[in-house]
Amino acid sequence: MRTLRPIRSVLQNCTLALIGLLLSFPLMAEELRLAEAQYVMVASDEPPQDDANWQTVTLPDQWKLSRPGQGGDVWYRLHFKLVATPKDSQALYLPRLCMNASAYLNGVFLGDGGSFTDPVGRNWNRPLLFLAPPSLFRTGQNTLYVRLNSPSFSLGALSPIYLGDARTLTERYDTAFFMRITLNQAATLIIAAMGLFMLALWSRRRQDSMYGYFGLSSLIWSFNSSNLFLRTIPIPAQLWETLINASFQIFISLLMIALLRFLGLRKPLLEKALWAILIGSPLSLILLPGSILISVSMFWHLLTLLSSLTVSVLVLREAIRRPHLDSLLLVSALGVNLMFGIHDWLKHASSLYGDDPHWIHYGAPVFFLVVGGIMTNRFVQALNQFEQLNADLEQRVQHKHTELENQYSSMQAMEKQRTMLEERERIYRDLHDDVGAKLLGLAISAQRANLPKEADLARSALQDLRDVVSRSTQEQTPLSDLLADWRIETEQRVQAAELTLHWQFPDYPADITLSSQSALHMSRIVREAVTNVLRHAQASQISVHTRLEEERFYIDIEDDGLGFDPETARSHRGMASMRARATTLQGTLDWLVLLPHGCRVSLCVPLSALTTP
Amino acid sequence: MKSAYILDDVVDSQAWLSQAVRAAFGDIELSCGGNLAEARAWLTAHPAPDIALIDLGLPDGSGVELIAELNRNAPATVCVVASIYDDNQHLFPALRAGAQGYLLKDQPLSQIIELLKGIVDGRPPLSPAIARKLLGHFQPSPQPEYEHLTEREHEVLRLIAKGMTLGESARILGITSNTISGYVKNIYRKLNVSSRAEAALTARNLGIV
Repeated sequence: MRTLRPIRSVLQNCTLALIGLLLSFPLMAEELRLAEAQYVMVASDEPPQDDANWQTVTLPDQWKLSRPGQGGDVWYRLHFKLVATPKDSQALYLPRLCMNASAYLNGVFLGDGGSFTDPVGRNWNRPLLFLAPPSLFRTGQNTLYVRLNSPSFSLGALSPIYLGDARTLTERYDTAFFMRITLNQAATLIIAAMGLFMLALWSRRRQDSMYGYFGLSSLIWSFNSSNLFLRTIPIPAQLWETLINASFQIFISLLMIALLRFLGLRKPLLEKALWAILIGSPLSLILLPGSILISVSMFWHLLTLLSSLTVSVLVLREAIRRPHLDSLLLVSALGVNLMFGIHDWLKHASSLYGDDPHWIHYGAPVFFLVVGGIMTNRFVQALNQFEQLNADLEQRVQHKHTELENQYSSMQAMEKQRTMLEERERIYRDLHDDVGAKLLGLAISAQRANLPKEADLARSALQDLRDVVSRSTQEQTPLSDLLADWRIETEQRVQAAELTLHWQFPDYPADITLSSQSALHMSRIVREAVTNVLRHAQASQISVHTRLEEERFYIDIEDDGLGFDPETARSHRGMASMRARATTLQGTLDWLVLLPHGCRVSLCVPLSALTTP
Repeated sequence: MKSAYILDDVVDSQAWLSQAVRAAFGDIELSCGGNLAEARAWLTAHPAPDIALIDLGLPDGSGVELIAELNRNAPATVCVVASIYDDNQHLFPALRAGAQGYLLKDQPLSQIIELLKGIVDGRPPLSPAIARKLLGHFQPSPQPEYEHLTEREHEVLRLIAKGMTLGESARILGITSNTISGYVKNIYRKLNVSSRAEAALTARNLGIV
């Protein structure tokens, strides 16, 4: 506690200094508040004479109380005394009045708030400030005349008048102007723009009627709200006021319908009631006599309040059932506006008079912004969802497209394959028809001419042709099948040449299969080797041995003939072709002269080269 | 053998086959045709021959058609394929249609004569490729319409598929070459029977019968 004492004393000193500053302020302002006045009700453009029927009055003067049902011009006269004339510019500030006023100081016109004939300049929510040069003021008695005009259907009123330093009063006037005029103008513009936006949305999506109702409501509110700041209106004042009054019911009812639709609450009875208010209010206000207009509008206001209360209860129930930030915001905004509405209605009913007669004008924009924000958010969410769906769909379409393309290209490949097979088939047919027939003819002629070697040559050529045709159509040939075919073929040839064949015939696993190309090459090598023996060797027997060792396939073809001269063998065309085939199969081919006589052809091919196509 | 018909579109082969037929069967009534239409016309005008040598690739179709027709209308006629091809793609359909043998036209005359005699005596030729195809054809199947091969017939096919000659196979199995020829003949018959059964089955499935 001890340590706090110095701090407290400092605070005390500061507070004292602040109070002193505040007390000195009014002294500097030298401001006059004029509330004691005399008035006379007379239709005149000039201040009335002193002998007129002046009566005293204290401002604020509310016509509703002092002269109910009356309308027209009332002249106010206010006296004040000055010890000395002011040096600086002075101003006359009228914080509140209804409907229009003009001012005269010491007989000189200071200014007015617009027209004094119908439609009278509308200043009911507008502060007025008139500048007065120092030269107009006199030492001693000064007289100020204020002319106030209000139609009988408006709530004519005049607040106390302030006279003082122009700078100070201008500041106060500017603040009031900003609060009552500028803010409302801005809100009106924003909400009108939002309304147009919502209507544009609705025009594209007629099924979302809530956007249409909300947009319409926003525009009508904007019209209603323009009453706060419009000074000059294009139509007679009474019609204008009727429309403004009716528009309250219209925009609130439309807004409630929009809310119900937005929340998906189908209440046909309530909607019908809202429609009844929204049509009945303007009709009755236009058709019924002006004298009961205020009571009738009060009735409609009350009905609107009650319907809004019902909607609020429904929204509250919905918010409790499905708690969500949107619904909570809606409920709060609705609740606040409902209270403002009740305040405004009570004020009208009991003629409360304050500086801010219509709270709803401050609550409504917030409410519109909240609802508009929620609706836009909902719309954007739907749009995002749609976009997401669209993106998904696009992806799926892309996927399908790729799939189709793949299918198409595989179909093309198949088509190509088919064309190739067809072409091959055609070539084979031609080979069969032409080459086959010619070789057959050759074989037959050679036999007739008793030329067995030439006949064998023609036959082995025909066998080559057979091989090409039959092997090429086969994808894979088991090694054991291939060996069986070779054996039978060789057997027949060797038999025809009257030689003996020894064939080593081990069993090979069935899963060793050769590609058609390697089967073809191998067959040709074996056939050529046998041909060479039959043509040149003059042998009496041939042995063929095959074996499989360390992933290599060996085949030895041995004869007991004359052998050969390696030099001439090198240039032999058949041998060169055999060697080329062996190389293609990554294998080796060797000729070995055997002693005392004979020859051995050895072929060695890696199994991997045989099996890969 | 009293009459023979040769269907071949190459005149040289016709002459060659005629020579072989005459050499095999001596004095025989012999006619030749160059295409299917000619052969059909000849067959309607004449009694069915005892033996028919039929080439497969003909200008107006496949000889298989004629084999099937003969097999239906004149089951007594011995149909022999005379071709320059012996792979199963060419021959197997002909054997299924009812051909009882085949010969390669480029074979030495002596071999052709032997073959012809053998076929007529019930010793049809069998290459490893055909044997393999037959093995596949007679895979054990649940269809009762099929006539299955006996164990011995299977063994014969397996040996021939490996490249054994009929004589070698007979030796390995310890039977005479006449017996093994009987097996082969039986296999051919069963092939034709099974293919007929298959055709009947297909027809029934298609609702034709």
